[in-house]
Amino acid sequence: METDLEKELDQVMEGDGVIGVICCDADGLCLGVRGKAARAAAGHVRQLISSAYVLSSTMAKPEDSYEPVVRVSLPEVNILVQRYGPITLAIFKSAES
Amino acid sequence: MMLRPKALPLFLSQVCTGGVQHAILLRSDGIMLASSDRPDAEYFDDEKLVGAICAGMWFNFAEETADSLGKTESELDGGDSSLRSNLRSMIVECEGGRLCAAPVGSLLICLKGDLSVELGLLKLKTEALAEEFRTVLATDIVSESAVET
Repeated sequence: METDLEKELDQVMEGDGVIGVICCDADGLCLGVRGKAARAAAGHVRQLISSAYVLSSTMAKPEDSYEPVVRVSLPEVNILVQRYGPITLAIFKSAES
Repeated sequence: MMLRPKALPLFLSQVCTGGVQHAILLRSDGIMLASSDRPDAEYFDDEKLVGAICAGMWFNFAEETADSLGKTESELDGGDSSLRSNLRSMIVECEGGRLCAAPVGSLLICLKGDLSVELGLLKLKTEALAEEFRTVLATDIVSESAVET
């Protein structure tokens, strides 16, 4: 059952500069993790995107429908977070890429 | 409709991949009805114990959630009210592994995995198996009395 998810995560890891990826469900529970991403980050990632969604909904027009992307910039790592329905994905990329 | 015990182990074993070691079907009193393992498997007796403890924990938490919501037994659905509270799933993280349980009518499905299985995946598998069980067998007619002996 988890084979497809694992394949997708492995594929994401092959991306340019990607050093980690984490996938979590609507409750912030980790579904899969690769590389330097910590499974303990699952809940925080989910909370982050939920807050971003609430924030963006205050600015968006009613006819707009898009999911915000959150970028956390650190000296060595950039973390990109987006929600896809009940799933939240966070990709950790090297800041040099 | 009656359940066929011989088909249950195969049904339960479909989720036993990627770190999930056992899947068991329990009654509300903790009696194991079916397991993904054969009865002569090495850890079969441990599974019965785990199942009994899991059902006991579920029963206690279900009562707590019902009480905290101010619901009385008469306000809950008919049948075994302990498994018809608002509790949708239960995850237990232990030193050596992880458990997840979900209700199917008056029964309980419990998955046991090692530390390599992610909590979200364990919960997803448990709920998917429970949902498939409900879909195939129809919740209203799945009850302890309907299991062939």
